Amino acid sequence: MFNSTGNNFGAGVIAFKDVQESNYIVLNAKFTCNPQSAEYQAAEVLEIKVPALSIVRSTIAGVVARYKERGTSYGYPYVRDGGTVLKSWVKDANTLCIEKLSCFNDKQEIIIYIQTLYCMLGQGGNASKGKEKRITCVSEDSYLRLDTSYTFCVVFPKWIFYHMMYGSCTWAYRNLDWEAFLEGLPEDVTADVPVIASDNYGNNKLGGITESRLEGGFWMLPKDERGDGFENTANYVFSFGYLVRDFDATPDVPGRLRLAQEALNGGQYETFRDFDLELIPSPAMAACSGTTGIYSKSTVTFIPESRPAEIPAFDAFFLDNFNGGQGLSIQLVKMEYRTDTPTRSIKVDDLSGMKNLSFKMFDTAVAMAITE
Amino acid sequence: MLSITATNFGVNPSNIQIKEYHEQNLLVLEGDISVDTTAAEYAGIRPMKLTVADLPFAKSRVSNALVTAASEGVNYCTLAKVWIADKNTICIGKIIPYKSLGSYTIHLNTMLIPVNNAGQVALNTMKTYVPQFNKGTGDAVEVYTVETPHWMMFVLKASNLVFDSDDQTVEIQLPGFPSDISINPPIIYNENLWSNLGSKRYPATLRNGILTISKDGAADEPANVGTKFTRMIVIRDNN
Repeated sequence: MFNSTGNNFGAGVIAFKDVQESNYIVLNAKFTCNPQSAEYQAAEVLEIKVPALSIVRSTIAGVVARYKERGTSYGYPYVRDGGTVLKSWVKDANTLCIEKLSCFNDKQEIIIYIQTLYCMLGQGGNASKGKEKRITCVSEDSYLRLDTSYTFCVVFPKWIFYHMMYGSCTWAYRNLDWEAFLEGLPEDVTADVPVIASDNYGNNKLGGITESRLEGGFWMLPKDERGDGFENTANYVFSFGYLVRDFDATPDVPGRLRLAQEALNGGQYETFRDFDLELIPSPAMAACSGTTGIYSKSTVTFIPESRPAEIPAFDAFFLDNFNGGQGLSIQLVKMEYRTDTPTRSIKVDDLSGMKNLSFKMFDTAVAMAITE
Repeated sequence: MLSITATNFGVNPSNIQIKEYHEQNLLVLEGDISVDTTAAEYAGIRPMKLTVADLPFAKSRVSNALVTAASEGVNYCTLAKVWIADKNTICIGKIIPYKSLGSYTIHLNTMLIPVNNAGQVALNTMKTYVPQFNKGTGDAVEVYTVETPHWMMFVLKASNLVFDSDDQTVEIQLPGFPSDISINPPIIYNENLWSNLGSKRYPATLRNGILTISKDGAADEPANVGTKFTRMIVIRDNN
């Protein structure tokens, strides 16, 4: 995280969350500025001065600019917030630029959302593809539907790419605050994320932009923030952003008692996704998290790719939430972590009579010496 | 006791009694919290937070707590996430589908550990108890514990339980069980794979080594439901 050191358009100090690598950076910030200020009017390009970035020049990227327009019409309140995407780029290691558009000249305040990845200009090399991870929307009585094909994220250790496309809402909830759990979205992302529609019903040259909140895996959009163009069926309503995770930069202690693997393999269709097992040494406890989608099996043995020598063989009883229905049923499983083969093995056994191993696990259990 | 100075979901801290035991890298919590989902403070906040006096560590791995609720006379249960977010904040995840029920209860029987650990692992020793039925019957009943001077893990698994026809209970004696343990373990079961409100449960008490499970007026289970189970972490009163 860092603060800006200055700007040429009269805004205050701008706080950034950041990920900085040698050939790209991801920056997140949200700030306001006043187009009526003398500094704003004098600027040709909005420039933000920052502590030295890891890249000295970038390709063109985009940020979102939004103004609020609220009022009443014939006694009914309206929300006609509008905006658009502005070009943005890294001019040099200490200067971040945002284009200035005349369409905002008559506004008292604009909100700028930087949720942007800036690539270093002139970089060659082979690109590696990220993996699309589906996001599932969980809401009370399933009142909220997000488009399943276009609501996803691409997860990296320090940041994610997030794309949400609104689907529909049941009639009973149309005038209520919306909140839902986005299963699959990393829960260490906290951000105010613009929601973009094609129409704001007030200015036909700009889009409709309102603001959602992501926090702890939850998505929130209060009724009073939803623009009038939100449910216009002639347009797609979406969010798009590169979001910095609240990652812990503390390096692993030597000999960390942890085994984490994106996909722990137990067979052709048997995978323990986002598997993350960690122990404390004394008293021995094991925390485990991850998800599976394995049906018609009560027992699966997974083979990990890495084999931390410090984790001994142990047994543990874990509780998880079974995926059926709304994912609330409880399942008891026994985990047998074994080190008697070079590859190690992790056997998970259903003890609840579910005869399926499709669950979300988030538990800390007692690690026991094996008795066989 | 856990010293709670504030909550963000409308519950007065003085109404919450949570026992706690801690070491340098372990926090054990035991206690109940009643949540009113109609409270103004409950709406629109993620997650529920307890503001507490300094905890032994500032960040934990995620663990869970049992959550119980009633709907149309049926007792349901599920799991909520629990974690330490910073030195003075314990977070508990909300149960979205339980919001319309108006209230639910969080039962903390929870162990929390910090992240980034190393060292020689000292595994715990599991004990097995042989159950003897005083009332009712059951099949393949297994009872396991891990017992330390400060906390205990209790696990029960049964492929089937048959309640006594007179008083609708199952009473199981556990010879050699520690006499200082008095707990109320929920005996959990699943009628089908696709329940919208979670698992069902029978209430139970364990006193002086006798586990008494009550049918509590629950309707007869469907024929294909058998397995009952529980796992409970408790703090021992001799702390």
